[in-house]
Amino acid sequence: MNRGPDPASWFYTAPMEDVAVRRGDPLGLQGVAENIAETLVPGLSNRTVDARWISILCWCLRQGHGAWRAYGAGHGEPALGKHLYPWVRPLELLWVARTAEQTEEGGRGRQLPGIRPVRNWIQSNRRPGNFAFAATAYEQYRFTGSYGGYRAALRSLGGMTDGGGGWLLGEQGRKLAEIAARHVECPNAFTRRSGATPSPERLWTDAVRWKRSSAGFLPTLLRRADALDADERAILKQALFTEPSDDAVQAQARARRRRMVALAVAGSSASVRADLMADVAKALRGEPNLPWLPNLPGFSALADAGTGAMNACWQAVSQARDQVLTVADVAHAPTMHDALKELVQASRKWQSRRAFTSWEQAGRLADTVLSAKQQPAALLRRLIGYHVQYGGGLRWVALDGDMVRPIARLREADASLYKYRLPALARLAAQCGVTRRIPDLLRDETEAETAGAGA
Amino acid sequence: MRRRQSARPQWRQPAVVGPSAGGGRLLAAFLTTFNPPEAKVLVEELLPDWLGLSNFPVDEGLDRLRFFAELEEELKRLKGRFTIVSTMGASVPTGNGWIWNYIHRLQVGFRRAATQHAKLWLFHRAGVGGSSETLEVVVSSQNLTGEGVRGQIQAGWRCTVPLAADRSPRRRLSWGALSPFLDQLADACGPSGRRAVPYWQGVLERAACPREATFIGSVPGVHPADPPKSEVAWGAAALRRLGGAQSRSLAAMVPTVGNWDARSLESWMKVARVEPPAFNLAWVEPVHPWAPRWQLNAATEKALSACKVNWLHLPSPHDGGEWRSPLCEEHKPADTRWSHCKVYELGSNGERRLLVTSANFSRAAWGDVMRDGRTLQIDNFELGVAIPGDAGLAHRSRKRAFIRATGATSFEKNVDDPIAWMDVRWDGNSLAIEVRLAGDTRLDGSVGIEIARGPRTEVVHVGHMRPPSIRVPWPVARGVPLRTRLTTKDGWSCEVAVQDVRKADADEWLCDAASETEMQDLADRLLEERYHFFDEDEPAPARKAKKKTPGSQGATYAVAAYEDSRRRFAAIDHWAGTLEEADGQVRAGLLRDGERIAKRWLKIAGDSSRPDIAVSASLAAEELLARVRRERGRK
Repeated sequence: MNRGPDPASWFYTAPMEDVAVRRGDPLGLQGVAENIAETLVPGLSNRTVDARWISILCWCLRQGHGAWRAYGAGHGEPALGKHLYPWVRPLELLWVARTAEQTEEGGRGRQLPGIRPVRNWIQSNRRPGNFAFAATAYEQYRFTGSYGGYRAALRSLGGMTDGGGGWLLGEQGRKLAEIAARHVECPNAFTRRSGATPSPERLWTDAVRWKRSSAGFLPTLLRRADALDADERAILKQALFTEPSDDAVQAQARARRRRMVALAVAGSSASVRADLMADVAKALRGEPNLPWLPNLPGFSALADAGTGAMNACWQAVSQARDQVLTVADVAHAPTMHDALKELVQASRKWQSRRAFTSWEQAGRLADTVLSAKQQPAALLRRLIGYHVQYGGGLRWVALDGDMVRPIARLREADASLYKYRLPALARLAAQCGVTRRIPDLLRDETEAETAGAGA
Repeated sequence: MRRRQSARPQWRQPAVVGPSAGGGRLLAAFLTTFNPPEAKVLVEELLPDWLGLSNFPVDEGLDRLRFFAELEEELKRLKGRFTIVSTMGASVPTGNGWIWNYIHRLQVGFRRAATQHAKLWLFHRAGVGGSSETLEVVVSSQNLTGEGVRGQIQAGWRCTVPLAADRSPRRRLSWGALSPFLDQLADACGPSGRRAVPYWQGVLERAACPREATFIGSVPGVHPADPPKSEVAWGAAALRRLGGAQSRSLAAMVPTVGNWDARSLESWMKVARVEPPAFNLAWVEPVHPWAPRWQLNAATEKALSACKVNWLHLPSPHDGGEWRSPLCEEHKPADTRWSHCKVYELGSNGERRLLVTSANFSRAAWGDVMRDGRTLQIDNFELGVAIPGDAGLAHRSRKRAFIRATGATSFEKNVDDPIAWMDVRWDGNSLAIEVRLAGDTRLDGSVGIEIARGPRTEVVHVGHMRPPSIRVPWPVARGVPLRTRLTTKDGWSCEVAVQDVRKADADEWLCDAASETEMQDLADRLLEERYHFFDEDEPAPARKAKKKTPGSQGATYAVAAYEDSRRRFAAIDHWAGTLEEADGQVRAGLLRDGERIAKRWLKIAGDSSRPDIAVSASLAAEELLARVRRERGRK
């Protein structure tokens, strides 16, 4: 809507909301990790950890579409997220608010993006507009909220949305919406009346009435994986892990791959991630067009060791606060020594089995680590140099002569390990009854991922 | 009729300007910052808002790639019309350095050492729905860094004014010091600066400054302390002109107080026409959470106190009792950011003026009065806007005895580094390096070049370097250069972003989040989506249709072809509708969009294994091309 030029004004800047958690990519390996993730767990993301959200979002899309038709632009393709999404967003947030209010732990331990402002909104008698979000954060919720997290799934799962567009429900999506609708009293068709168009926030805050049964139909507790309704589970199991329909060849192949990997993960007794990846590689060895499969455990070990070493380096630098440390100081910090040792081992392994060379980033890292002396200070110097030259996003530290200078602000650094979507997959598989358990190795990662996502 | 300026400050997000605030598509931008801008901050925090992107930077998956494709596409459109000026210095290394290929980074210091400390944002936007183009002006204390955006509270002033179709020098003059400020800044940036600024002088000739606003600037050099009214006044001389002549008082809240002694302060106050007892300075106690960031050394504190400066006590959130922010009601005690605001209040004869500026209370910013008392030596570029009203410093702080937080400070006068200034342009054939060296500095003969798409750095050895102009052959085949580094014989190095002065290449993708083919495909899809065409996965024919029952296959294809055709023609209609409503400035771009979509559809027609889809795509492409031709002919 064009409001025309603003008059002049003066201002102070409000704080920006931290709505997105970015994992950091200190050694520039994210591109490879993303490709591996898409091959192992196609069509999902690291944030698709709760199948219940898929059902809820299908209901949100159904409701949002009805209201958009009545009150929105009224013409053009409804799939245009920019126009339709504003009618969906308040519904997502009302589910977040409902979960915060209805659960004993106030929503903790569940995946509830935006819970912090929503709590403020509840405490302020639901008064501030936009659920107490700052304007930009509210605008960005399309990407940082639940829909953003599950958009990949809504597009790729067979029958979930029309044409895989992610906005109009397909047959399976409509069924899930119907299941969620049992727990809410809310009109799904609106007739435009004369007078001002209600804002989506106002419309839904007035229209949504929760049934008592909704207390049992909320985003689930992440530490458990047994809370889907039977009919809901059947639909999601089919969409995620079995052949959804005869027509969708790609969806079929994706579901088959997810099932194979989910079973491999659940059956693994690995206690370290590299072994888990070895089990996954073993399960997929009969699959075509995966020449890099034997290198998967090696890459995983190298990426984890590299990330671990950079985290240890950052820890040493940030703990020193205003004092700038020398390379030797950092290299001999308590956790740094072991982290560097692990990186050398992982690099040696990578080089010894380097049959597949198109992951040049990994080869380059290993070469850098092993290129000269292995003394901690010399090795750390090369690692920081590598980070500065090849890392993705903001650099954390840089060398200044013999000093290690922090570049990132304190709260920005520290990266989580690459997950390859495996924790998300393991939980969805357990929720759908495809597997019986989530390996402990992955359970913690699921909870850690979502602990920050609500920020 | 213009609305009266509200004295009450807004409480707003630092990045929110542009389409989300009601403006049209960005046509050009000019920004200034102290430290070199951080690419990460621009990519993740600022550009999505400024450019009105529909995608947002996320961590993984297709949405991440869509964001980068949309961002680079928009930056290509703005190539050569997006400029950021800063002080010389190395920028924080980042994986998003490719944006500097599209955003020109200029640095001051072409003639002499200088500090660019102003924080000015100019956005020229297209009109929306028949309304006129706009100029958005923001003057604040905000640098384009992570700390500036997230770690500090800033004060600023902004306005959005409509642009007239014609130009008038009188309109430009209505902006007061802004226009000459831009000229001086351009001159300090060398030839590249002088090429960038005329565009903005032209924009100022199409827009009238809001009546209430008075621009107050500082530019490096020696300037008269009391110039004739027909001349621009800089620094304290400009402050002298602000407000009435009688009963003048000044209050300031700034995070940095430079080095002052009694003589320099008294001379300065004389130029600014403020008597000592009427000068109030808001400051913090040592326990205040802002204290570690605010700068005032003990000697200056002593000198100011001796000159009878009144110290206003800013309340701390740790004081206990009811919190009253020194800024505004919305500022909460839990806010961990520190104030980087530079706010001054000038009172005289019952009139009050509020000055929101980049200038700290320092001689570098406002000018050091020379011994003759008639001239000022200014080191910095600074810019502020004065408006009627005040910031409430008098009632949001208290006059009472308190211990001022002080600490060691190191304010250095502008001193040239060995490589004092550097600018690099690339035309696709060679790198043209212009450099100003300090004293007898000699270069070591090497030029380090960082290349886009792949973190490669090459070092070229140039036999005879003859500053100030160095030319290094660098054809496109060697890769797109992003940064260039020169090194002196004694090991000092200086690195700057390369200005790519080639025309934007639609098929070239510098962001390495995905392959160039993937980026192109994503950008094409986003373009189609802009006109409401959503590229669905090509569905395989239904299994039933594979049975060779008479007519079954044809029937299935017929429905799919009809549906595909309907969607493509609906998109064409949407494109035509957008074109009809478009501002003249964006019309050419929309016609190019139409051509690009048609080209993509023709390719789909050629590549598709489905004859029905091929026919549908081909027909739609021809229709779209015909409309583009018709529109061009009409013009």
